[in-house]
Amino acid sequence: MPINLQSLEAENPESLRKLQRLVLSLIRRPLNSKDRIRKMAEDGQPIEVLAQGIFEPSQTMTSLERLEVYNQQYWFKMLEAFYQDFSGLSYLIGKRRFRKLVEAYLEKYPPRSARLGDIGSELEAFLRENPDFLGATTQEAAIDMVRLERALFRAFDAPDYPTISSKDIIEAKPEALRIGLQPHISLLELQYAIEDFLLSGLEKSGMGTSEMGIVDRRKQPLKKPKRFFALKRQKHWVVVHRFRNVPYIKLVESPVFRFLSLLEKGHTLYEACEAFLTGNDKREENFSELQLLQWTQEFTVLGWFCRYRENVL
Amino acid sequence: MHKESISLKFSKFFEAYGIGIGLRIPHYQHILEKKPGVSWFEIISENFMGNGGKPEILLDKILESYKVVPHGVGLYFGSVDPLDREHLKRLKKLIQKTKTPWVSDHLAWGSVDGTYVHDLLPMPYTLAAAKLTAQKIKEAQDFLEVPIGVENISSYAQYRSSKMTEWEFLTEVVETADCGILLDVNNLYVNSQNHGFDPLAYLDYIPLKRVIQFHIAGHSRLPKYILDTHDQPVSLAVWRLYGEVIRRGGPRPTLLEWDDAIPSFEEVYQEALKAKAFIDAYQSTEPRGGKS
Ligand SMILES: [Fe+2]
Repeated sequence: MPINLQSLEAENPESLRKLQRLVLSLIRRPLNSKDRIRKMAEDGQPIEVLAQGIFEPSQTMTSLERLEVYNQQYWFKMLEAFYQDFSGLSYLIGKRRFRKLVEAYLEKYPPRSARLGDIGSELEAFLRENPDFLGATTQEAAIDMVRLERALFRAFDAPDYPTISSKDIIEAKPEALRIGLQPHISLLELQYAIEDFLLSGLEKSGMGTSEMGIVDRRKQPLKKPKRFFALKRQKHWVVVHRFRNVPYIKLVESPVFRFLSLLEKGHTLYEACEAFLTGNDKREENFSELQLLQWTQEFTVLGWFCRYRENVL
Repeated sequence: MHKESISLKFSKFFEAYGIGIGLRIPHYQHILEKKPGVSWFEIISENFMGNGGKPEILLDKILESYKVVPHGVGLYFGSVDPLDREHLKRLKKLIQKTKTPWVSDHLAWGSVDGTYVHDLLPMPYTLAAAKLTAQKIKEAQDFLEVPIGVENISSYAQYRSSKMTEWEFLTEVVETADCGILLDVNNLYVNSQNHGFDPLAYLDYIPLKRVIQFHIAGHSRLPKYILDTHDQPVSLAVWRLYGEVIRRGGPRPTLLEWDDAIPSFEEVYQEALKAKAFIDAYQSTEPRGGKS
């Protein structure tokens, strides 16, 4: 149904809301392949006519050109923000597919909070809901990468709680002791060796928000990757964490991963140790116990353990 | 706020704060290691309203040595959507942490039906829009328990539905909300060029006593309009306008925004300190310490 531009007078909250809805829907419409505003709105109406109904032209700009500034501003800002948060994914799937993905994702999951850091929070869900979006292999690897990059964001964003010491652990009864993992820690089982694709290092800026009017694309060519990495299927386990305010990805063995996962889920230390020991059945039992003790000490030094809480974040 | 005391109260902020710059990532190391003498930093509130991770840990270190004022981009007073209570709570925590005597955000909208565009969009200048915006500012100000300075944004479009000028709209909003103005002198200049009005007519109209803070910044002149890029020194025209505002209303805390192609800390700070010449010029004509 054509929009009645008379109803956009903004003379009461309802018509102001209608005007804001229309402007927002036009701004969120993806740009064309030349980064220009499209001709048609989603419902088939010519955008130029709508723009003329909304904005006055100026001495130098048409109504459409004025709308285009905001259309470009939105998309340049979004693409830049996604690139900052998911540069590994962009490298893994290529810039063109990355852009298509961001556009499709934002159509389904538009930003729902005023924090720019939240924009990618549903990207994993989106990829799972659309299993064919990137083709089977790439899709699986992309999901791994999104999980890894979100974990790096968490290692940036989440707090440190007071740690518990080896002494606290030794003195408590293992059958009753539940140990929490720091909220900045993520335990990931990954199917592909994707770490090589993290070109820009592990730091997530998470601070892309500024008042600056526009992301000025003229000066910001996306970094070109210099090397090519072959995608390799390789199941492995990592712990993403923060140490002295720097994020790290630590490779761990499967039993250790299981041990930590059980602690994270709220199992007692005793239950987690049991699982570790049975998971290590190829080895001598006392060796495993020694190893367990070493690991636990290392994790304590890394400050991973804190008092257990029901809901960490 | 009691109207009689606003001007006096806000001019005292100048005495305590003076000239500052925006806190930006490339300068962190320099600031933490060298502890340069800067009167205050402005932070983008939303970048420090996370869950207590790295940004908040860094902020704690900065707060050991510096005064910090949060400047938000996420309250969207002009959106018809109600204020996000969760966002306000996080902001209040940040206000308490920084112990700031005022806080700021923009006279803009940027969300509808809970969907955000992460941009500061201009308002249609109608009475209904002013009333709604003022109501939301008032509500936020009551909750946050510090005065809010609402900032004039740079814009690239004007609505057909507008029934008043930008300066009439701003005045209507801040008088109704009984709040402060963060006057961005660069934005005022950019808009006067993009929309073809006289910035002095703007200054003639708005209640200068409500100005709580100034922003200054650099912009880029494109073939058809001026883009608010914050990526270069402040233009001469903007400095002149800044001098004129101070001549009329007295000095207020002044902050340079530099967000892109950020040079060294020293270069940014020296650019900000150019404001001193205009403040000195005002103070030399006001022997008793300034108008109020
Ligand atoms: Fe500003």
